[in-house]
Amino acid sequence: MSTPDVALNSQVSQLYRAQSKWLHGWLTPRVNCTHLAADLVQDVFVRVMTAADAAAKLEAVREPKGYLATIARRLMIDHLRRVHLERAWLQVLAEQPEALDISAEQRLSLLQTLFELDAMLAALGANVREAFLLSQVDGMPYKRIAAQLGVSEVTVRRYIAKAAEHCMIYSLTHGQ
Amino acid sequence: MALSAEQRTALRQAAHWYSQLNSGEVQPSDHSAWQSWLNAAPANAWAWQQAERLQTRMSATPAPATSRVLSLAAHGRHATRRRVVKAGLVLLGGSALGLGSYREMQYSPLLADERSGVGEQRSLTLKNGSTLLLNSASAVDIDDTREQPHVRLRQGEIMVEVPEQQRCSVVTRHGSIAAGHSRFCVRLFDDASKLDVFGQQARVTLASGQAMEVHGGQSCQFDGKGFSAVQTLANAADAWSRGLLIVNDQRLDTFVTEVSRYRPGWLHCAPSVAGLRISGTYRLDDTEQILRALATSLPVQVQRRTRFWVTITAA
Repeated sequence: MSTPDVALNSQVSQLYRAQSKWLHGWLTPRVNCTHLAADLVQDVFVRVMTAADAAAKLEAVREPKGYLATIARRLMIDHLRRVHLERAWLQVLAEQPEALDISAEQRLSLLQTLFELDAMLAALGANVREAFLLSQVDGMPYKRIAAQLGVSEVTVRRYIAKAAEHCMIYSLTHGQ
Repeated sequence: MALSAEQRTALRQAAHWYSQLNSGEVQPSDHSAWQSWLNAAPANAWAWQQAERLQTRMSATPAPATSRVLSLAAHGRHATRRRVVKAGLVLLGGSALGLGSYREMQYSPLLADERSGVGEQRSLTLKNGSTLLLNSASAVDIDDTREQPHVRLRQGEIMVEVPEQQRCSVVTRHGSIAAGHSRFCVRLFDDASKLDVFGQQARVTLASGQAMEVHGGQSCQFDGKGFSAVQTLANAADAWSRGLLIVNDQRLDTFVTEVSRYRPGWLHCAPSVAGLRISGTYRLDDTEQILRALATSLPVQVQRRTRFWVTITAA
C-alpha cells in the first residue's frame, strides 16, 4: 500500500470515529429503519474512501457533517430507486403468463443492469425517457411513439437526441 | 472525465445523428450527410464512437421487460399523479406492433398524410372501398374528398386494390397512374417509379403527356421523360403484401438491399460475396431469422457492429 493510501486510511478512520454515530442518528428517522441506516453508514464511508481524489476531497472538507450527509442523501435516493425497481420487477414477473426461467444470479445481474440504466435516465423528463426506452429497447418506430405520447414526430426526434446526448455525457463522466 | 467544449459540441451533433439514424426513415442523402459529418473532424469520429457505445449498450438491454420495469419504477417514484395514464402506456410499451398486425383505418379527414415505419405495413381503406397497403417505410398523401380518390406516393411502395365500378389514381413525382377495378403496386425509386399490375389494366400518364396502358401480369418503369420496356411480372412480385420475400436465384447484394428495407439501420453486403446466389421464401417480419438463415445456407458470416449496423462478409 502506498503512502497516500495510508494517510487516507487514517483520515477516514478518524472521520468514522468522530461522525459515524451522528450519521447513524441522522439517517435512522429518514429511512425509518435502524438496520438500513447502519448499512447506509457503512456505504457512505466506502464512498468516501473510493471517491476519485478521495484524500484531496477530505482535505478540502470544512463541514464533515455536510459532506457525509450529501453522500448519504445520494445513497438514500439510490436505495429508494433500487426498492422501486425491485418492486416493479416483481410486479412485471407476476404479470407474466408463464414463470420466467431465470436463476438468482441472472436476476441480480439483470436488476443491476436495470438499475444502472434507470440511474442514467433519471435526470430526463418523463416523456423524453419514455420515448427513448420505447425506441431503443422496444424498437418502436417514432411515428408510433409520437402517437402514444401525444406529441409530433419532430418532437420524438428531439427527445431521442436529447436522451442520447445526456446518456453519452453521463457514461463519459460516470466512467461507464 | 472533464469534457471540452469541442467534445460537447461533437456529442450534441452525434446525438442528432443518433436520433436521425434511429428514426427508421434514413434516406441515402442522410447517409452521405452523416458520412461527411463523421469525416469532418476527429472529435466527430470520437463522438460517434460514444454514440455506438450507447447503441451497443441499449441493444444489449433485454426487452421487453426492461422498459416495463423502468416505467413502473419511475411511476412508483412519481406517486399516483398519472397512475392511470401511465399504466396504460406501460402495457402498450411491451407490445411493439410488427408486420402482420395491419391496422385498418377509415378515412374522414380532408387531406391526410400517412406513413408506415420501417418493418411496418399499414392497411388503409378509402371511402369508395379501395384499399391501400403501405409497405415498410412508405408515405402517402391522400385526398379522399372527390369521387375518385387521389393518392400521392411520397416514399416507398403501395399496393392498391380498387373494387368493381370504382376508380383510384396514384401520383408519383414521375407520373400518374389511373385504374378502375384492379390491383396494382407502385414503388418509388430515386430516379424512377415502377408499376406492377396484378388485376386489370392501369393507365400511366407522364408529365410530358406521354401515356401507356399496362395490362395485368405486366410491369413497367417510368421517369418524367419516358417508359422502360414493358416486362412480364416477376414471380411472386406481390409476396411482400403477404409479408413474404420470395426469391429465386437472386444476387446476394440485391437480396440484402431488399431485406434492408424492412430493418432499421444499415445492412450491407461486402463486395466479395455480392455475387453469391440465393433462393427461398422468407418472412419479412423477422429479418433476424433471415440473417441467421443466410449464415447457414451460404459461405457468409453476419457481422454486427450494433443492432443497427450489420455487414455480411465472407465466412
